[in-house]
Amino acid sequence: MTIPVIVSAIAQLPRDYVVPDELGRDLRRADAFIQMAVISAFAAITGLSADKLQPEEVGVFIGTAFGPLETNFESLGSLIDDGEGQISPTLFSHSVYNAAAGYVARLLDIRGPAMTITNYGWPFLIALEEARLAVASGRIGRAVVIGVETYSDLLADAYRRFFQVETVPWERSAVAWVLEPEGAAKGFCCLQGINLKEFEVEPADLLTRRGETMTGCGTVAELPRQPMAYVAALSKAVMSYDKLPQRCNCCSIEASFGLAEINLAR
Amino acid sequence: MQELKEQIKEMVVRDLKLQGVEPSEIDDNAPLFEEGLGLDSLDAVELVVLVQKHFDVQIEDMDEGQAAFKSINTLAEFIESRRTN
Amino acid sequence: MDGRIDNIPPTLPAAVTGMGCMAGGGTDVNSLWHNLVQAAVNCHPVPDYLFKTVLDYPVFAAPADCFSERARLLVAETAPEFKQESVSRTVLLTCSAVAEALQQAGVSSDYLRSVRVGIALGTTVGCTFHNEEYYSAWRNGLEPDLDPVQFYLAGNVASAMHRILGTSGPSAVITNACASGTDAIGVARNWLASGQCDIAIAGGADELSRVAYNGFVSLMLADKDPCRPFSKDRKGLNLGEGAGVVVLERQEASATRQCQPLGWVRGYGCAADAWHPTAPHPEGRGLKAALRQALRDCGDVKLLPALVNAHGTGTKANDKAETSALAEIFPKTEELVVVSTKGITGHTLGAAGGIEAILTLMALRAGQTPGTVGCREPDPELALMPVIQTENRQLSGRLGISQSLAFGGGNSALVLEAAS
Repeated sequence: MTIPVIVSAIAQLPRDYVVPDELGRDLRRADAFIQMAVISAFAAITGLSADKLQPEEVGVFIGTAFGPLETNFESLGSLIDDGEGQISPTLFSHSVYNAAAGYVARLLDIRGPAMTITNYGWPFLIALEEARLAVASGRIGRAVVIGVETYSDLLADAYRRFFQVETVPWERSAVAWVLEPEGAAKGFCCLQGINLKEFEVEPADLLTRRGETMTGCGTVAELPRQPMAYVAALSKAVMSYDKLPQRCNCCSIEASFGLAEINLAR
Repeated sequence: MQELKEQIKEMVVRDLKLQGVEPSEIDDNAPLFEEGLGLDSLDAVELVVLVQKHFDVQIEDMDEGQAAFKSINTLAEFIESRRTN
Repeated sequence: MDGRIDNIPPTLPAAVTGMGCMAGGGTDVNSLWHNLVQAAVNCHPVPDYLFKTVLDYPVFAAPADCFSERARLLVAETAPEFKQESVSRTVLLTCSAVAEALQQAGVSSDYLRSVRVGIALGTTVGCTFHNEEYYSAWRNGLEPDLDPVQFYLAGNVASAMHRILGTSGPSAVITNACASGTDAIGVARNWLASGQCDIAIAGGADELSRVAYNGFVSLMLADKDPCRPFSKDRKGLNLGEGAGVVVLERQEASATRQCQPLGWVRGYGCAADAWHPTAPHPEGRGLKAALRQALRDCGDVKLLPALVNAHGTGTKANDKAETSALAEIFPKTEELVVVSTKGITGHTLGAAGGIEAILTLMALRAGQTPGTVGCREPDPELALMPVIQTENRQLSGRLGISQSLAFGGGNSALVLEAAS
């Protein structure tokens, strides 16, 4: 059984986001990674109709390359500074990658699948394809798909040292998409499928992402060297899909570490 | 004892990242969990670690913890009694 | 509510053609099963070869050299340049489990390179940067050697396995905490059903980590003695490490290869509690939803499984919530055979779902299950009576369930069937 799947909403959270007052209490222990995932998810579903969907029919899928890396290091720091047996349980529990999905599920009352996937290349695309399969099969009626990165100074310093540069072009960001069955809502376009291929590279290449290029519908653009650049570029392409040439049905992204094909349709 | 209570309140607000409440606003007798400050089970284990770190008092299990954590008063009494031993 | 979902046809089952494991609970599938049958509890203080600790909570550690001879031989063929020191312990554990599973499936590396291979692996610790020396030095303003960063970037366990095997196809590392392994198997099965790949390797792996060890101690979830799932006065879990994977294929593919399946993955469900960052929903709300989904997915909502391999970590909260949920989904609790196998594996986090799917199939194939190691006096307040350690039960059928409840509120369940 395959139901056509549309992209019904996209929300991009800027680097200097603000935690809405109404979420302040619920997010008191949350780090930036979790906050950004939650706020972008809220922004994406605002304005979508919630009727006819039970909480169990909605799923959340998060793709991340580095996870809550800074919290991971704070957690390590807590262990080193405070000694064994005294690591902050809050820090530790918030350093597991799926903490964000747990928060999104709780605050948006999502009781379908909550899936967190990690990969250094295109984790958002893997999550997007899992979400698409879930909606296409009819298992769920809506998927919130989030790409989120918050990086860390340790990794940025490593980047500087690897590549002998002063500035690191990273900006933390979060982007949330909503996928639904065709007909359930008005959408930007149909997401037909994603194919990914991984190539073996020097590990440091996964940081630099040099040469990462998106091709689609007559345009070729080398992406800014950021782990979330492909998400921003793809989001832009999808949001302006109706202005693209009629025949446009595939975006591809090439990098030293792989090849991605994203099949879209009207 | 009063100073201890103040220290505890500062610790609770700061380290549990409570929003919209000043340490001075916490009632000594108010329940910390469920109603009152609305702390939960994760705050409870965090408090165990904080009490150990800041006051050098061990809490062996959550039965002991639950009794101690009822309010600022009970927590201060608990710490005081353990410290003088 | 169920109107729309009830109309979905069941997903095509995937044949399980191989199983492999390398863990504190057993260095291959036969020794894992043997340890369960013998109730051999390999639960000891953290060995020096893993990390130094002043804490005395025991763990289930895999051997110091966890890279099996089988793995050595496989990798010598598929990746002759491979150096053991260049990959994490999590990857080494995975290689050993994968090598065993592929051998059992009778799948050659040439065959693998000729088809689309999906690799879905769960992990919790295996994806993190936990090199304390590097972090300490960096924090102190030093410029430590960059090898640990390269190591971290080379550590995505599914990407690493594709690299090592020389295969291509879908790749996913699932980080759903304790449910990761169960989810990975469900994801891979769905890939096969929707034609994303021809064969899949799925399960999970996690090495023991000082950070996670301390984390569970601080959360007051760990026991200083071997764990006692479902027991009265249970005190918590023991961490363990390991890898457990299965080889999955579409039914026709395994028939083409003239390979007899060991069994099938027939159903999968995954649902969030939407409740709390660390505590499960008290009535197992998410687990109930996951179980209902898994039963619908296997095409038999009225199924009474012959066996349930529970998550059963031995914590107060988990065992209570889990048994509440089971009793609601399967009200005839006197007919339900529920065990936890964490008494001989410990809680292996990302690997748990993989290892437990294997143990579920082994029991279903044997037609009987040993009791819950560590459970001698069950908690009378639980909603059902698990099989206790001293019992052995004959199983009334070949279909069972393996389920997991994750930190962060994820819940997953698989319906598994053993071949006769």
